[in-house]
This record gives sequence, structure tokens and C-alpha cells, in this order.
Amino acid sequence: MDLNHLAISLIELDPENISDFNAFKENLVIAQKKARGHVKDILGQACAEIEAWQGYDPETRRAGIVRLGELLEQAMDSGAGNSSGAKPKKTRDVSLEKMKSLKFTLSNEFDADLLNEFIVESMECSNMAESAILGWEKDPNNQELLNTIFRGFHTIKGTSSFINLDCVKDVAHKAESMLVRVRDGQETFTRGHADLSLKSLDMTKSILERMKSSGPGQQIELPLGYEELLEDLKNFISGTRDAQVNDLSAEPAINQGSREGLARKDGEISAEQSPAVSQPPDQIIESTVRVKIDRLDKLLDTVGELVIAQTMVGQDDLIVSGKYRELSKKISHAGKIVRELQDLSMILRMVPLKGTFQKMARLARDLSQKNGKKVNFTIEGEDIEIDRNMVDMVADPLVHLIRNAVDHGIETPDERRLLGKPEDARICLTAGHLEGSIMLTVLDDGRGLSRQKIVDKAISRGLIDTDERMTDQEVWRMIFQPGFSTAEQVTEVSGRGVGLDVVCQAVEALRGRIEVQSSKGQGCTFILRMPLTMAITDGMVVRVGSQRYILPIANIQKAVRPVEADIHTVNQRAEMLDFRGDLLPVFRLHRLFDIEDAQTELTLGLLVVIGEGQQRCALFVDDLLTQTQVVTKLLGKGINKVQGVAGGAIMSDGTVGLILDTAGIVNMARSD
Amino acid sequence: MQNGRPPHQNQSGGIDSRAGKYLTFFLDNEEYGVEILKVQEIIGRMPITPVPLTSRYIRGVINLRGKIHPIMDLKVKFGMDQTIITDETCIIVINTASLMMGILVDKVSEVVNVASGDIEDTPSFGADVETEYLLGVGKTGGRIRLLLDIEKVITASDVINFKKAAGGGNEEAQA
Repeated sequence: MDLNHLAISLIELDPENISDFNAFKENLVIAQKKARGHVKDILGQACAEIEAWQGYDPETRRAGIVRLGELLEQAMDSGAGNSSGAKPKKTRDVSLEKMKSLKFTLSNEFDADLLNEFIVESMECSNMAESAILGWEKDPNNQELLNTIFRGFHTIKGTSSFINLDCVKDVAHKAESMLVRVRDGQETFTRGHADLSLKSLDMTKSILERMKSSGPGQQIELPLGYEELLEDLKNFISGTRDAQVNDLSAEPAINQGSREGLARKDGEISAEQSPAVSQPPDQIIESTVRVKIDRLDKLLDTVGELVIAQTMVGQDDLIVSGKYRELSKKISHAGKIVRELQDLSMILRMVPLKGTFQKMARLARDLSQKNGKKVNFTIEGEDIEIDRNMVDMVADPLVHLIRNAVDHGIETPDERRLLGKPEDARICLTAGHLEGSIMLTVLDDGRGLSRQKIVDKAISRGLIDTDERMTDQEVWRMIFQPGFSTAEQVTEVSGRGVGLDVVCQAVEALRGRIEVQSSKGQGCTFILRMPLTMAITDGMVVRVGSQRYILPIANIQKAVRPVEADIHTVNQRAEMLDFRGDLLPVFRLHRLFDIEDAQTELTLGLLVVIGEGQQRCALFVDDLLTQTQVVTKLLGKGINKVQGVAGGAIMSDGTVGLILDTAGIVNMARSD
Repeated sequence: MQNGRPPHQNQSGGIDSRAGKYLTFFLDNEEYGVEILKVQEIIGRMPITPVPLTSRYIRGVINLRGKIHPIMDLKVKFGMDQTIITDETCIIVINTASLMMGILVDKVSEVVNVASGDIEDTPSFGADVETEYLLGVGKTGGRIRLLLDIEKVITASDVINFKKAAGGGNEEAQA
């Protein structure tokens, strides 16, 4: 048992449990015998210490454990190497440390698979601890959360020392030593603890990220600020310890006052926070299996084929004729099972939003601290699942919206007090299901959108002449225009004028829509609606000549069979449709795609209104055939991106149908 | 067989990486060969969905067991007339590390073993005739087969000049 393990078991030591205690003592004595030099001396002290406890009450032992922890720390820090003679410890000598290049070589004793396992596991631990820290800030008295944080660091420390990853282990170890005292009730958990813990988790994560792209035996560069963090942790630990030691000796030192003042301030802040609904951490352990994504995709492809094959059997003349009732029954039964199988295979790709929401909570916390605003960030519906491909795509617009809310939406605490609002602003991120799609809302109770500012800006940019006859909704929609930002000054966080149009584009790329509701002084809500999965497209099959295309339903606003009076021509060339009083340009799909056998008479075909706002137009097709659900696929290697086509899909008859990309079609038509 | 361009050494040399099994097929009356290791399968005709706004030699896309594959009309690529679909028309599915594509051919002929001694380098036809899409010319059983570097054919954007090379090569061999 080396010093690390000894230290870990010391931390876990229960002062009331005599048998644990004796086991620890034995280990300590063994370690002492094995150790050499300076370490041996220190461990000798520890042995003497532990001998002296015999027969004392648990309270004295508790204090003894703390002293023992300090001794062990000294032994580990002494630089003489640990007793098992593995890797030499980093010395505490600052000048030496600075001279060392900030590189770390991964041990090549372990293969890449094991390292990957470790990375995934440690990432999970970090995320778990991070969410617990954020949870604690809302519910400072929850002991369970503190234990979760502690467990996170503890596990990371244990596994990283197992694979000789000293750079991670050192961070985790320091953070753990900081938290031990909190867990044992010797200190209260403060903002300072939380900040340093989060920083340590960030450091751990960024080291893990770097490890992902390298392999066993390779060097990774340690992230910037690594040493500073270790130093901060060390100072923090010794700082609080000094304060305590001084406290015990009843001779307050100079620095103690400030430390206490800080602690009191921290206490105030946490006390002031309105007690949020406590979220007991879900401790239901679900057993999971990691599966490679390409296997999953292959499974989905095959199941898709099965569905098609089954449909084709079901539509065989023999069956449709109705002569063989028994056979038809059996086939339709098989069909049900096949469809169920398809549904199941789709669920395989779904992951909960939890991870994304957690990142947002962290973001809101950091931003509000930076801006000196007080924010109570709540999340709801984090268990809602979406397609794993969409998870990352959802994060970007959410980051923008939350930045906007903190930076522009929320007032400073002073302003809020003047307005008679509670100082703690509320930002609420919720997810929910709605009519087969997913709805994400970002709600804040800040100042809301200013109609006047938006209108002024729009006029100065020449977007509109006057806001007469414009509804609020129409005004709000203008903030999604490129380069439209009403922030009066550019800040580090947001206000570069690129915010909301990026959000809008990202949401549209997810085939979703964004809405905004706002009331002055009451706050503002952004509502994002998007399909549960990008893999499946709800589409309308349209016919143009002998060709069929799939038009995503999300892009269709209305389909009309035009009468002559609705059609107006411009220079006898361009055509316009009078759609409920709006004039929309008409684009003929058969012209754009050079289809020869198509209907050319507008009144005999259909006009499909597609696009939003400025992009709205009417697309001319021969007919709408049917509604369908298809799995989006790439057109294959060897074919370049085709303008106006988003991808292909296997139709129910086994042929390939092309899915139209409405935005691309509009761009194409306009550039012609 | 190695991917990429094999060294064009003389047939008298010992090992020629061009030697091996070729799947041969017809485009009109010309017989071509493609390395068998790059062929995944041969499928009969099936409905091809045209893709708008692509080059003329992209005939469209097909569904092959749940995956979409583009189909190239090799004759159009070589500057001949569009393939007319008959009962003998086949799609040869080419699968290499970099691409996966079906090529439309008039008729699939046979699999032949071309020994290195039977391969001649493509004769040079001057500047206006591209011959770099040919690995060489195979002569077995008294027939001339144009051995294609299929990856080059598929990835090149324009091989119209190739037609002359193929036609010329054929005539010269017959002479």
C-alpha cells in the first residue's frame, strides 16, 4: 500500500469504527517500515500519533485524523518519492516547477482502450461533480450533494493514480484534500470552495480532452494555468487551515480577519439565495452498454430495409387481391412487429438533454458572476431525450440565448431593486414535448425587448421606414436579422451583433422554428421548436413531371391551387402569387431542375408556400401525392453536394427519393 | 493489387502489379476491364432516380440494401451516347477506400486472368488524347481489353478525350 492509498483510506476512515481504524494502523506501520529517508521520519511521527489515540473518544480521534492527514501530505510532498518507488512526486519547489516544461507523458503500460475507458469514466465523474456543485449553490445545506462532489474527485483521483496520470491525480488530490475538511464538518462549503472545485474540474476535463487525441506513451501538453491552479488550491487549503489553527489558538492573525470576512460574505450570498426546489440527485443506477455509432447506423439501415421489404410483401398482388385471408393476417402481424422494431431502433439513438443543460447551468453561473448579476438558474425537463446527433447542435443556440439573457436581459441588482423586483433574477431553461416535437424555452425576468430600440435600429439600417401597422411579433422577428444587435456596447460576452441570427440559422438547420415573447419590464422568452430527431424527416411527396421529391413538412406553410386572378406577372417573365394580400415570387421547380415532362400551366398545378419572412416564396409543383416519414441519407461518396437537394431517402417502394432543401432552392432561384 | 497508379514498367519486367484478375464488360463494341478486387458486386438493372443539376454522366442514385449509391454512365463519361437500358445492361458496384459508386455498362463479359506478359503499355497518341486513365492494354485470347484505372476514371471531372484514346487503341490493335 503506497502513500496514496493510505491517504485515501485515511479520508475514508470512520473515527467510530474501531476495526477499520486498526486496519489502517497496520497499513501505516507497514508503510513506515518500507519507507526511506525523510518520509520514514514523517511516517514515524504518524505512527506515534496513532498509537497515542488508543482508548480516546471519537472526537479526539477525529482531530487526530486531521493531523495525520497533514503528516501524510507532508510525506507525499517531501519529494523523496513514495514508498512503493513508482514515479517521483512533483516537488513543491516553485522555481523547480517553473523550469519544468509543461508536458506530461502518458504511461505506456496501458493500452488505448483502457485510456479511453478512463477518459469516458472520468468525464462522467467530472460532470456529476459539476452538476452537484451547481446544485449546491442553490441548496447549500444538502449534505448529499457535498458527498457527490467529494466522490467525484475521489474517483478521479483513484483511477488516475491507477494509470499513473499524475497531472490529473495531483489536481484531484488537492481538490479532495480541500473538500475533506468540508465533508467532516470542519469548514463550511463556500463560494471559494465551489470556484476552485469547478476550476479543478475544468482543468481535469481539458487534460482529458487532450488525452483523447493522443495515445499511450505520447506526450500531452498541460493546459495553461495548470500550475497556477495547483498553487491556488494549495494556498486555499493552507489559508483556511491557518485561519483555523489561529482560531484554535485564539490569537487571530491579520489575514484571518479578511478570511473570515470573506467567509461571512460567502455565507450571506448563499443565505440570500432564494431556496430553489431541491433536486435530489437521481441515484438510480441504470446499466448501459456503449455501442459504436456506426454499428447503430448499420442496424438502422437494415431495419429500414426490413420495413421496405415487408411493405413490398404486403402490397404484393397476391395479398392485395384478398384471396388468401389467413396469409394476409400473418403478414400484417409481421408488419406490426417490424414497425415496432423500427420504433425501438430509433430510440437507440436518443440521449437525454441532461449534459447540455448542465453546461448551460455552468455558463449562466460563470456569466452572472462575471457581470456582477445575481441569477437563479433553473432547469426543467433535462430527462427529455433527443437524437444524439442533435445534442451538440442544440447547444450552440442555447449558449447564445443564455448569454443574451444574462448580458442584456437581466438588470443589475441595483436596477432591479429600484424597479421593485427581487434582486435574484430568474432564468429558466425548460424542455418539453409538444405535438411530436421538442420545445425548448429560455425564459428570463429581465427588462424584456425594447420595441423602440429595435425599431430605431431597423430604421437606421434601412430595413423598414416606419413601424406603423407593425405588430409586436413582427418587430420582434426583426432581431433575427443578420447583424442586428441592440446592445449599446460590445461586451466580452455578447453584443457583437452576431447573436440572434446565428441562433435562428442554427434552429433552422435543425428544421426547427424560433419564437420570441416579450413584455417590457417583465422579461422575455425564447421558444425553440424542433423535431425529436434529424434522422427522420416528415415530408410531403410532390410530383414534378415523372419525378417525385420529398418536401420537408416543417418548411411548408400552405399549398394552394392558384386561380388566374392570384397570379401576376412582372415583365412577362417573373411571376408573383397574391397570397392573403402578400405578393410572393413564384419559382418553378421544373425550370430549376430542368424537368421536361412537367406541368407548365400554373393554374393546373399547385403552389407550395415555403420559407419564412424575407425568404418566403411559392414553389410550383405538379401535385402533392402523399405524406411520408423518411430516414435522411447522404447521396453517397462520389457525388458532390447538389444545390437544392438536402439528401436522399429510401421510399416505400424501395427506390430513392430526393429530399429538397428549401433554403437552397430559394437561393438558387434568386441567383438565377 | 495495389490501389493507385501502378508503375508502368515494361511487360518484360518480372512482376507487374497490373497483372491479375479483371472483370471485363462492353461499352458498345469496346471491351474494358476493371480490377476485380475493386468490384463489390454486379447488379441487374433497377430503378435509378435522376438527380437534377449534376453532370450528365451521373445517371442518378439507387438504393442498394438501404444505402444510396450514385450511378455513373460510363459511356457519357467517355463522350459516347447515353446508355440505352436493355436486358443486358448491368451496374457494376465499385468499392474502393475512397469511393463507392455504380457504373452503368452495356454488358458484363467475363472475369479473365491477365498475366503480366499480356499487358502492353498504352501507346501514346499525342497531346490531345488522354491515356492516363488506362493501366494498359490487355491481350488475351486474341482480344484487346482496355484496362481501366477505375478510380481515376471516376474521380476525374472530364475524360472526354479518353474516347479518342480508346477508339484509336482499338483500331490500331485491329490493324
